[in-house]
Amino acid sequence: MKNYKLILFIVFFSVMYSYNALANVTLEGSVKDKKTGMALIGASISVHDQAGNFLSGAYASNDGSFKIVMKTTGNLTIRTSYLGYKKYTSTMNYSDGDTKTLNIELIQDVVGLEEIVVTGLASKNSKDVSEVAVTKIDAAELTEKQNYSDFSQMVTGKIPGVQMSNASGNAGGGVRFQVRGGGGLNGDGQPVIYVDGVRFTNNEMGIDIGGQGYSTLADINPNDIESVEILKGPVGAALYGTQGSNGVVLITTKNGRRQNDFYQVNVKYTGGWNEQQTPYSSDQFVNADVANSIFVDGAIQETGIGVQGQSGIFNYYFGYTGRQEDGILFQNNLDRESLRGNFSVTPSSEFKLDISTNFVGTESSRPMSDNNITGFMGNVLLFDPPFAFTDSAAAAAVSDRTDNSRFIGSAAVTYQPNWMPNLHSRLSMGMDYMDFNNTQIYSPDYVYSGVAASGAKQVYNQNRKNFNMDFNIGYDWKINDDIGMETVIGSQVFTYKSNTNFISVIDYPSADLTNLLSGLTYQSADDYIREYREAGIFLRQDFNYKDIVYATAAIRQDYSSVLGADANKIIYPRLSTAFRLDNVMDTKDFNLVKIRAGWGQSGQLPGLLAGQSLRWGPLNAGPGVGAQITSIGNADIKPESINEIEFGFEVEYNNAYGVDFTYYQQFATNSIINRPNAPSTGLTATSIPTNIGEIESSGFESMFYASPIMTEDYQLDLRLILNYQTNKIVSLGGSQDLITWDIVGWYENQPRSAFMGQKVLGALFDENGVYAGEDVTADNVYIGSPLPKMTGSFNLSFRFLKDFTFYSLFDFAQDVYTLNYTRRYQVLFGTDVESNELSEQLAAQTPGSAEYIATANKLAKLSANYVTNFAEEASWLKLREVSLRYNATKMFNKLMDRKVVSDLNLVFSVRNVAIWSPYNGIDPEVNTTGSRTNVGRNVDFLTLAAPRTFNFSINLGL
Amino acid sequence: MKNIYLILLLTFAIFSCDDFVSDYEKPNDSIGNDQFKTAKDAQFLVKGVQGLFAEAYDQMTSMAGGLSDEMNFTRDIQGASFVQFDEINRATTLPPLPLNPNNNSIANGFKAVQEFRKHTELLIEKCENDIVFNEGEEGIKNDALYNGYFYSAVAKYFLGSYFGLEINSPGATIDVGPLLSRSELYTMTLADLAEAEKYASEAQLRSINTFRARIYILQNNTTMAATALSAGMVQGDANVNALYNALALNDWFYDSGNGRIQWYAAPRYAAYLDLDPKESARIPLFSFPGTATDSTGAPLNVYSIQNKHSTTESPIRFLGWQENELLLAELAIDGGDVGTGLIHVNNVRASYNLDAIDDQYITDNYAGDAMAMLIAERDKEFFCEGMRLLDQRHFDLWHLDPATSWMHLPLPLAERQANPNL
Repeated sequence: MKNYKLILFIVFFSVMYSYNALANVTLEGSVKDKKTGMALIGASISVHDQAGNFLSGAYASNDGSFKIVMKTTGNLTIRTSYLGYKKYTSTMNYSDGDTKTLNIELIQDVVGLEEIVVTGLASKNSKDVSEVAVTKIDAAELTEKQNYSDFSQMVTGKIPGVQMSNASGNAGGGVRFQVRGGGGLNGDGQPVIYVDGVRFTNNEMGIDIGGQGYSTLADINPNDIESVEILKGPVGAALYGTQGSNGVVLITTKNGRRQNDFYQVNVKYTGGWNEQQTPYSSDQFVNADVANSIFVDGAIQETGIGVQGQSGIFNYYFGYTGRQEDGILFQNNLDRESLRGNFSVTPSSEFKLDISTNFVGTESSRPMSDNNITGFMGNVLLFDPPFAFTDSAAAAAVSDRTDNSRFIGSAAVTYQPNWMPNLHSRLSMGMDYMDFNNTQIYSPDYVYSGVAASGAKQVYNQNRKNFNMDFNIGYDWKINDDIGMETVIGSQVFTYKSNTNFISVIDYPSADLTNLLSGLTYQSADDYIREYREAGIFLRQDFNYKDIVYATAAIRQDYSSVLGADANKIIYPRLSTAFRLDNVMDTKDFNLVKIRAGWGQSGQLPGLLAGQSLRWGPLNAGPGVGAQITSIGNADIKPESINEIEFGFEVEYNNAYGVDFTYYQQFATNSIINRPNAPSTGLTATSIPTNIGEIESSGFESMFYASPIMTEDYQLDLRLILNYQTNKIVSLGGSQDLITWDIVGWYENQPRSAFMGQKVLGALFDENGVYAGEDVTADNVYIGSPLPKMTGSFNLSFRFLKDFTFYSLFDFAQDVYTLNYTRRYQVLFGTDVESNELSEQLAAQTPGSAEYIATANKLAKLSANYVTNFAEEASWLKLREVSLRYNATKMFNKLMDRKVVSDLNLVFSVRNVAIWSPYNGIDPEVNTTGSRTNVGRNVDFLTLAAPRTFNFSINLGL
Repeated sequence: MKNIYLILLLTFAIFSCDDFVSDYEKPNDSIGNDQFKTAKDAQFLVKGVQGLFAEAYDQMTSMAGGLSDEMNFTRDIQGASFVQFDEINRATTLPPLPLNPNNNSIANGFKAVQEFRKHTELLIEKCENDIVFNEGEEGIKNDALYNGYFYSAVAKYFLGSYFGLEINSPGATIDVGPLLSRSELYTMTLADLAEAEKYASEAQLRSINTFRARIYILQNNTTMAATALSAGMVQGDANVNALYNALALNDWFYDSGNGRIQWYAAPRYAAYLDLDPKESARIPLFSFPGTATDSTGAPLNVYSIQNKHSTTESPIRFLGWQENELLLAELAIDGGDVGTGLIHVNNVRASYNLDAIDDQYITDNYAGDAMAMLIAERDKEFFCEGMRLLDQRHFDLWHLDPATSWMHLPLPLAERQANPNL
């Protein structure tokens, strides 16, 4: 380490010595927006010699002007860049003592075509040459307009082909990604997430509270994020191996590179509240008033401070954010503290070192809800009088707290030797260490159905360690002047280890003594270790013909700890190409016309023990500890295989209008379905992983964008995203349908998680005309799907009077169904207003009369005997986000009569503003069993709806 | 030259990856199927079978209680919310809440019985093929095989007694085979008991005989029943119980007990106590008010809840000497010998310090019908042990319309869909 610093200083002073022997030359000029003429303050101007070495640079000042004085001569390349604008390059020839002027006009890069995006593992390109569909979000810009509780809110409605849905309105609750048609049948359908090169644990965990878990995504501080990129399927993600079969999300956090000064201090304060978005109506719920009275306005407070900057070889970002958020049920809150330190060092043109560190401490309190008899929701919505299950004071006295401490860190070294400049290599290592604790306490002062009379405590701990290491080495070379090539080989390794334990103790003497020793009776305990490893090697070959045709051929071989002779390795190939029509045709004002196509393969490996036929574990029961079968595997299990083809095009016109379109088809074969044996076999401890599934999906994702107004005082940006997907389970291999919640399941020749069952056609009557039950279809019929066919969003950003920005985001889902299981139970328990009224009417009407028949038919379609009655059409349109921002920087500095602040923004924002939907429940997007269930989706059973959130933020830069 | 380096690197990576992924810590909470090798492993398997028996038995007795006229269901009790239990209690094929094969509680119970049965098979198979018993370990082997065959008989008895395909086709399936009738399953039960007998101790043999007798009585084979009963359990013999602990607890505690209440006891049990408070020794009950109240706030109904399985660890008797006595009483009364029948009945009553009963008692309380007296004695003796359902069928006392009700639990939907032979 010390030798390295010495070398650094020697190099530095050597350069300075040789530099001083020459006469000064000067480059001066200005950098402005080509359309508006606005000075681009802070634009970066860098000067490079013929070999591309950096000589000097400057940043544009307040009026856009710059001046660079150098000691050099010869042909120089001047590169100019500014965030959100296309790069500009020019050359100038200097003799000793020359002074030259260069006035630069930059064009807005409306959709970030020139931004570097990840187009695969160890593959980065600018978007305008990318061969795959990839979307990048400028998170830093978004956090200026809106305050986000977690990362998923930031992504909602902004990425074609990707939908985010919150399983509930719990602060810290689970979030589900729906990427395209959902990939294969195996696994939980979730993409793998990397944060600064660290494979991030994205899980939902914790003691059962009725359905929802604690989501580890809550540990990501949205204010730390600089950008989010998503590769959506095997074509883009094939080189990530099995990890990428459901897509790859790449999160990059701030590192100071965007800063123009050695330092900038940012302080942000946000205050706000969550409130119940849609009250329960007394037209639907017998105890609507009581139900609404349990909701509270939950306060939000967030304070953040960050320092970032860059200077020569070094850029950095250090930040702290503390957030306290109360949910809309008083038992629900989330406290998160995040400390981040990122820095990069580029000591020479050969080496670059990036370090990212983040420590997060998240504490939350989760409300009892969903399928939980001690929860408020069930007790007020299902019972009349309310709290018949559990007394309100008793319900309030249940506590569930989670405490997650997490360290996420990575280090990456890039090496490009001067003695072989076409060679580049990168080694990165990342770790995600997490220590999760969940404690649930039932007070001994109350009686709870299903819990011992004198209180209970459960403690759950999990310690997880993820480690990943990536290495790649590549070489750029040319076949001839027209054809450029890049060959890359690399490898990835990943290890996962977790240690889980839990204990449950009951019978407490006092509510104030809650340690485990105070519980009289030990109830249960266990611990288990899980470890597995994955490794992959890949080879990628890129072609570039005259910047017109780009092509990539790649292959990856994955290895895994999964047992089973046929299951521990698999090969995933990829081919893709892109054609820049605008580089061969005279396309006039079309600054980008690109078509692309690709094919890729990925898939999910079986579970760790899937290849072992029978495994036995302990049964700790009355007779003692005995042996019982605990898992049933399949020695013949193979990995799933998903093939994807995609075609797309991107067009940009006049640097202001554009469209990005992708059509895809996915075919999954050998999908691993956990097929339960018939009960009479007695081998039903677990379902058996079996390669019997096939599913196909297809669709398109598109984004239309326009910036019809771009002046100094006004700018209007519009984005419309339209997605369409359809999917069908082609085969379950003859196995029986996998059904949950009575009607939700996987059925052959139906979409995944379809709602199917006998449909009620009307009422049946006996010989006296008296209502005698339901007339139903003889066979099961398809009712609908919880996966919408059409989704999309529309967002508008309007900057007016120079410093005000109005932003709004609508999103929608069409042709989607939600199972209103809450209503089924309301009918069963007599707390559904419409059902009760119909019953009363029927009792007063004359059997056989027209009105009796009509009432009976309505009542039949509310019968709780047939769950299909509660599968409701739930298309929705949501006004998801609205914000108004005022850039008060100039005004404030004018008031102070000097530059006091570099940045002062005031933002007022609202999230979940309004919803329009025919769904009878409150929120059609929730799911009672959290965000990880693969079969049961869109089931609303006493699930807390998402709140409406108001925020006011002050962002101060010094 | 550069390509060679790349190829070498690639080759090295391939071999390293394989080694790398194989070097991981194995799970600490399970072992492979091929790791049962010693006599100690046999004992480990035996305890597993006994534990699974207990897991199946409490579910069977609870659902059998609800299906029969022993237990009832009402939402008037706080915490009674299981729709599945409501369906079982109504036991009807008619709307509005028919008992269907998609009842999850029945599915879980059937699954538990079948897993229990499968483990007995695997125990026998491993003892006979895989496990090496050393010299001096014959006793362990015999005990393992006895448990294997005995509990295999119990599992088949559960299948025959508690399940059926349609309302008029009792029976169950094994290993996705065709429906085995109740009679066939009872025959298989007896065959397993014959195998168990080869490895049984003297006390175990008496248990086998009492169990046999039960089956023979249900088959109306009084001759064979009498033979078995003569060599059956006697007073002083330990019960064959299902045992529970804090981790594998007695479901009655949360189905109808101090933990939570779904079932309440039929009113006649409280009436038994009113007639003779000492019967609390056999029918322990506690009172629980309903949620509906009158204008003064007093509950409209007060329900009797079983307190026989009062804790999570309360055992459930499967076989006991008292049953042997009551079966002997049944045979005697059926043969016209009420006096002998009363002797056996009073032997049982005496064990609870209950007063002896006589002909006058039968006249006063059962209109002289001795069999009705016996049925009532069985009702009290086997309270919450899953026997009432069998007695109702055996003595033709079904409380609902047999044409539109289930006298056994319907085979679950999962089995119907997965079994091509159904």
